[in-house]
Parts: sequence; structure tokens; C-alpha cells
Amino acid sequence: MRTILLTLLSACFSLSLVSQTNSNPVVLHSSGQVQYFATAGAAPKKVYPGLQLQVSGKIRCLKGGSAKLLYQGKAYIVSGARTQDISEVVKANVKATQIGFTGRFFNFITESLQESESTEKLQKHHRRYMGKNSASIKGFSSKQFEIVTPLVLTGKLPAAKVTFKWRNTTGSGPYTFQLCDESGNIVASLLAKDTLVTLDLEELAMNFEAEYTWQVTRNDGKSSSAPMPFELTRQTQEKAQKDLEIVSSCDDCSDSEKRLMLAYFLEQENQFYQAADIYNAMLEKDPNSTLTRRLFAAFMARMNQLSEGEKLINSIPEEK
Amino acid sequence: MLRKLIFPHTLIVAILTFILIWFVDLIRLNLHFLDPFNKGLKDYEVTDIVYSKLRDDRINLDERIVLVNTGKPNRDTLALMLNRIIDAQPKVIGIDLLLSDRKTPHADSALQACLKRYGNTVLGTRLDGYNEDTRQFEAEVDCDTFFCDHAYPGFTNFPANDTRTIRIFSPKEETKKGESLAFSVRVTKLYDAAASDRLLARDKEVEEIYFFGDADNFLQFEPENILDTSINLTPLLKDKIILVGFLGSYSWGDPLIDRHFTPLNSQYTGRNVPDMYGMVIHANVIKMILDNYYVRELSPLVNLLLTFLFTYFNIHLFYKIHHRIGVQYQFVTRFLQIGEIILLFFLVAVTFHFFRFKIDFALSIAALLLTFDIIKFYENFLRKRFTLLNNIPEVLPQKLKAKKTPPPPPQNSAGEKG
Repeated sequence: MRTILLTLLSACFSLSLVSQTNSNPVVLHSSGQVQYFATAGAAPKKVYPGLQLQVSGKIRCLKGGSAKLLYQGKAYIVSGARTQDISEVVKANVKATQIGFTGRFFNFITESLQESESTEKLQKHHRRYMGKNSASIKGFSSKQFEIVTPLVLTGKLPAAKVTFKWRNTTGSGPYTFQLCDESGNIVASLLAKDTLVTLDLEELAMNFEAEYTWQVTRNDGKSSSAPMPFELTRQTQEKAQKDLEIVSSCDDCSDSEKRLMLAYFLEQENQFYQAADIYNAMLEKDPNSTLTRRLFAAFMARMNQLSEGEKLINSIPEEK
Repeated sequence: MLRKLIFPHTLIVAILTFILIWFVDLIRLNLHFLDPFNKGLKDYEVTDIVYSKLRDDRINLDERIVLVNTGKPNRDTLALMLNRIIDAQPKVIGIDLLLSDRKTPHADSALQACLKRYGNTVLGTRLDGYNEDTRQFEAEVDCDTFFCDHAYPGFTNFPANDTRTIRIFSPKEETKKGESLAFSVRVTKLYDAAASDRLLARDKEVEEIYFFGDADNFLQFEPENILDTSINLTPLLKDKIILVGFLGSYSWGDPLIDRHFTPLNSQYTGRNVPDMYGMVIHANVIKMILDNYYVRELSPLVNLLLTFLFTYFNIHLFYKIHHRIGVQYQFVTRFLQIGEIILLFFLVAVTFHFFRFKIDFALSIAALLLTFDIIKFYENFLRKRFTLLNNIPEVLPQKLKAKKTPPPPPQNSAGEKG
């Protein structure tokens, strides 16, 4: 009898183990650009609903994308440009213990009792409860940084010389410029007395498609910029031009029109810095081009440089 | 046996309790000053707490139903999406959109071509023009014949009162043109005719919706997922029910379009933010029909009988406590009332959660709350005023028992002789 019981118990235990190990996270919903890496260094795979993922894999959301994963009966939302281990995302689930019906009932009853006491409590200790409600919505503002950085220096930056610029709204330098990898290790750090630093990214120990951030802090430590995420891309303007020609060829277009199309294409590909480069080069070549000025101004507005964009628009001579 | 169960005064108090409840129910006062309180509780059922607070929140992904969000697309995009979905060979496509008019010839033709291309498509309609006398609707509207002629119609109306919480659905309705099926029933009929037949065989005018959960119980595709040609949709959509409709958009202007209140709302009283998109409600109904997972209810008569028995034994219990402990009786019974209400609530929750059995204990709770006062009223006023009541015995007389018991053994008669 004892043997039968032991065999049954061990069978149940091994079955539960098998059922646990076999379950993989499933994508319930995805929006925007979300990438999945089955193993470290593997080619990114597009994430879509129904896709089975490995717990050992990694996930990354780009361009404000997000995904919802289902794992062991619980849903997890993944967002943010940081590459995340799926095991980390679902870690809370492993720790979570399932409360039975009676437990939930008891929780509800005691919670109700606590809530019923709260009117008096609320008046007496209202500050404790201030965090419960906020008559506002998130999304229209973010933490105000005194050092303002342009969006052009995010997204994909070329493996070439890049000038990092910023603007200090309250004071002046010197500044500490830091470039870190996704684990927070410093790749480059330097002191700058002005509001710009030029670095040849090709010469730094950086990997393509990996995520990095750059940040500027005033040396007195009183103000800093937001950490600006970016990745290094192999894509050059020439390669982008070829890609664009595959997507849409415009034989009748003039050279400048083709350049403008390329700038827009690069912007769509999150290569803002290279797109800005094209606009600047075109303005240098033909400073009176209304079309270039208008498009560049619109681009600047999209890059959170509205005042610069306005200046550019205002400098366009009125058409007669 | 009967003598042990029937206590005349307990019975009188139980009847008095029911008369009082009936009388209070008759008086319909318009108590405007209670409105804020009233409105909060107006649309509340005890089972809402089971849904919102006691439900096991583990997600069981349904493999048969897939949701596709259209956002707010133009018809060109919708046609492109439908073409991609049709290529993946689903079993049924339910389009939870009201194509009430025509937009542009090009887009409309493309959409019509999709509907022509695939036979098993259900299009959303709306029942309109109810006639109280004939108990019929005028027609199913909001579906242009340009599209509806090439798809099965299914009405998307849900019965709900002014607080708009959706709990029930009507499987079928009569229109002047004949019988109309609900959108979810029509979709189920095309997917699994036996399941829809089971529903229709129940022949109930309305069915209570059993809510399995929110949209997370189903795979949800965005337009970009469907239109992405690098994704092979066939293994994901083949032989499944594909519901195409609105599951939200990023537009700031209309974040609450087609969102409704359901019992799953975390605010089970005084709900103020709708919690579920219409398409997810349809998906829940379809799942319920396919799984034969209906909410069961006791008949009003059985419910009344149960309530009466509960009240009756409760009154007897209170009497017993009164006789045993005297003065502290009031104190003990008040606590007992709270304990019993919690126990009743637990019973309602357990029966609904585990057996989908909906028991209405509202009357029992009302009776329980009144019991103490009615006993006092009966003992301190009625029995003193109407002395006739004092002639009624506490327990049934022995005579009743004697009638039923066999004659005494001949032992005594032998003694008399002696």
C-alpha cells in the first residue's frame, strides 16, 4: 500500500514538474515594433500574437511598441526600449502563490472592513491616502530636465563621427558626458566645457544593434539631462539610398527631391541623426530652397526642436 | 417528527415577517434624497462581487476564438485585413461592425468582394422598432444590403437598463421578416451547430452571460499584425472563430467607444468606467455557448420556499437563544445576524463560483434583518394585546403525536385487571 502511494505521489510530482517546464510564454498582444531574441546574439524575430517564446529568451520593444505575454495563467506587459530577459519579466509569477477561493473570500471580507473604517481615517490621516488618486493623466509631461537634449541624437546613430549637443536652461558647464551600455558600464566618459562633444563611435568598443545611452551631468551635480537611448547602426546613407530605391524608385524626381525622400526614409527608420545631416547638407547647398526649409522645420518640430523649426520657417521669404 | 419541527409561534412570526416584507415592497416611494445611495446600489448583484473580487484571475487562453482589432480603419484597410484573414482559412469570421452605409465605390466594392469570396461571414446588425403589441421588432438595421446580402446577419443589441451593465443576452428575436439570431449565436451556429442548437433548445428568452474574463483570455491581433505579410497567419487563424471589431485605438477623442459595464468591473457598485469592449462580450458569449457553460438559477417558487425555511428556522433559533440566555439575547442575536449574513454571502459566492448556480438570498437577508424586531413586536405587543395568541401552545400538543402513534401495548390493561 505504501509503495502504491509513494508511486502515485512521485507520478503526480513529476507530472506537475513536466507541466511546469513545458509551459512557455505566449504573446497575447503586440503593438508597434517588438523583437524577440531566442538566444543571446541571435537574430531578432518579430513578435506577434500567438508566438511561443522561450523563458530563456530576450525581448525588446522599439518605437514605443509594447507586448503582452501570457505565462502560467498571468499576463505581463513588456514595454520600453531596454532589452529584457523574459525570465525577469515573468519572475514575479514564479514567486506568486495562488490564493484559493476561501482565501480570496476572507481577503475581501477583511478588506471591506478596512475600507469601511477609512472615512474617518481618511479625514484624520488624509496625507496617507493622497497617493491613491490623481485627477490627471500621464503622457503630457515627463520629468523636467534642466539640460535639454535633442531627439535627433536618439534612435540609430551611425558608426562614424557624431556630435552630441545639448542645451542648459539654467546655467553653464563644465559638464560630464557619459556613454553607457545597457548594463550601465561606461563606454566613454569625458569632461566638456561647452555644450557639445564629438565622438567617433566607430573607434569605441561598441556593438551594432546593442542598446546604449548617453547622458550629460553638470559638474556641480545640480542638473542633468535625461538618459538618451540609442543603438549603433551599420546603415550608411548610401545603403539607405539603395534600400529606398528598392521600395520606391522615382525616375522623374530631381536630385534634391530624391535627397528629401531619403531624409524622410531615414527618419522612418529611426536614423534621425543621418536625416538631419541630409537636411543640413541640402540647406548648405541651396539655402533658399523653400521646400527644404519647410520639410526641415517640420522635421525639427518632430524632433522636439520647435523653436529652431520656427526660426527656419520664419526665415522663409514671403511668396509674392 | 412533525411535532418536533413545527412551532406555532415561530410559524406566526415567520408569516408576519413575510407579510411585512411584502407590504414594504408594495410601497413605492420616490425617495429622491436617497438617490445618490440608491443609484450606486441600483445595478448591483451579489454575484458581481464573485466576478470582480473572488474570481480566480488566472487566464485560460481560448484556442478557438481570436480577436482582431480594426482600430478605426477605412474600408480599404478593412478589406485588406479581411483578405489576409480569409487566406488563413478560418472557420468563421464575425465582423462586429455596423456597415450601415456606403462610403466610396472603390472601398465598398473591395469589401463586398471579400464577403463574396468567403461564405462563413457574420455581419453585425441592430434590431430596431420594437412593437409592444406584436412583441416584434421592425427589422434588423444598420447593415447596408450591399454588404449584408453577402453575409449572415447577427444583431448586436444587448438588453441593459439605464445603468448599462450588460449581464444578459437575447439569443433570438422576432422581426417582421422572421427570426433573427444574436451575433454571437449566429457565429456559434456556423462554427458548431450542435452548440447553438443546445442553446436554442433551452428556449429561454434571455440567457445570463457567464463572463470568463476580459480580452486577455483571447489572442488579440492589431491591424499591423494582420497586414504584416512576413507573419504566417495560417497556423494562428486556421479553423478558428475570428472576431473582427473595435478593441480600442490610440485616438484621444474616443477612448470609450463601444466599451460597456460588465459584472467584471472592479467597481462592483457605483461603476463609472466601462470595462469591456463589445467584441469581448461577444467572445465571452460564444465561449459560453461552445462550452455549454450556462448560469443556472433556482425557480422563484423554490427560492421562496428556501427563504421561508431559512427564516423559519432562524426565528426558532432566536427563540431558543431567548429562552436560554434571557437578557443578553439582543446582543447575541445581533452578532448572529452579522455572522449569518456573511455565511449567506459565502454560500451565494460558493454556489456561483463552483457550480454557476445563482441563488437569490436578498429576501433571506431582508427577513434575517427584520427577524429580531418582529419577534419583539410579536412578544411585547401582539401577544399582550391579543390574549388569544397566548392560548396557542409553544409546541404542538401531544395529541397530534398520539393520533399517529400505534395504540399502547396491552401491558396496562392487564394491570387494571389485577
